[in-house]
Amino acid sequence: MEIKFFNPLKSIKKMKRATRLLLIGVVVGIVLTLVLVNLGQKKEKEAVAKTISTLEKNVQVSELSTYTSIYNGIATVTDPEKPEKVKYYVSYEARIDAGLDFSAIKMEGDLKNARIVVTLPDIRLQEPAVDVSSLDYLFMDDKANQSAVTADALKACVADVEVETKEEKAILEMAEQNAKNVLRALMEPMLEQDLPDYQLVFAGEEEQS
Amino acid sequence: MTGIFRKISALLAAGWLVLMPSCGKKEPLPQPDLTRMKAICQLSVMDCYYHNVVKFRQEDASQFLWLTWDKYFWIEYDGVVTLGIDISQLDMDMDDKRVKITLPPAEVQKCRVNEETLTPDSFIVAKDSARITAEDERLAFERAQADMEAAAAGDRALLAQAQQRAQQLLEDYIRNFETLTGEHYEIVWEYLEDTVSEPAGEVSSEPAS
Repeated sequence: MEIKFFNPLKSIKKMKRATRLLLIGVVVGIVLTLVLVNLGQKKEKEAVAKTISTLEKNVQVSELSTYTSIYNGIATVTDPEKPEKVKYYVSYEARIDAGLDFSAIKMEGDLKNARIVVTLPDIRLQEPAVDVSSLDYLFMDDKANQSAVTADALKACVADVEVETKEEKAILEMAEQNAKNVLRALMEPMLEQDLPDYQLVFAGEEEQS
Repeated sequence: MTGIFRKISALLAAGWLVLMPSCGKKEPLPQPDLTRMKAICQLSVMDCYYHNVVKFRQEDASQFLWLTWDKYFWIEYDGVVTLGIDISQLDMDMDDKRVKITLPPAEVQKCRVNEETLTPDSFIVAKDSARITAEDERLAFERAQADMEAAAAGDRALLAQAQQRAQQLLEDYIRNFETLTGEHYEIVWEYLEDTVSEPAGEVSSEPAS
């Protein structure tokens, strides 16, 4: 039994000229498309890298990385020998700044999903500042009402605000949300100009979008 | 064969005629846009964690014969205060490369007490106070929201921070156009009344050389 192999060149020669030209045209078209797509992807990668570099520079020089929270609280001062006995309560006014280091922000291009993914560093709380002139007292023990009370009261207020603000998640959450809003305001106009099809997302949020 | 080549040549010529007019055509330079500036100001809004103490005093609240007692207690609670500028008052006027931005003052846009923090444990009653009733608690709760809003509205440092945040972001937005276009813009700030950052009138802002 004779085995006949398919010979494409012979088949092409047998075709009519018009059909041959059409086939060549299709093959050339496919090759050109592949080359152009490849070139396009390379250009896109370069454009994304360039935009990220510009965005990082803009963000790093920004002075908008801290946020203020107001903590007007009440500290309790007890008798050191009888901790269950309250000597007095002292109300105070304090401010705490929360911030993040913009120079530690990382950005990465996600070409497949047309996104720039931004990863934020941890938000840090700075030392709280208690306004000593704001101290007000509610004495439970009249003997505690002396001129020397201010120094102890201030210590108690500083200790109180440090403990309370460290445990208060809302302060860090709000600082983070404020930081994200500022970064969007800084970056989206530029992104719209350079990469209009791209979206800005923050790490951890990309799964939701 | 000649007919096919003529058709292909005609197609190529038609394609060249379509593409040629767009070659060498220069896109107009992008310019600052008021709509985008308003969007930036919306992102500049600050959510501030606010922990507050409201002090409730009612003189001569109860009486027995000639003896009277005041009601005096403190309540500790927290909430969120949103600070920002009214974007309907933001305006921009461009005269060649001179950009005049009318910036309204910052204001308290929202104020929300966290009701879960208003519990009987939040109350600290003075030693010699008259008895606190449920009605007193209800009135104190009502005061908490108004008190927090008043405290935030009177906090000039915090309002200044909110206005400066918006101003900084708008300035960064304009400076980005300088990077994009190579053009230099002069920014002139006009502050609407109740300004907290600069004296009334126009202030020019030039980039550092």
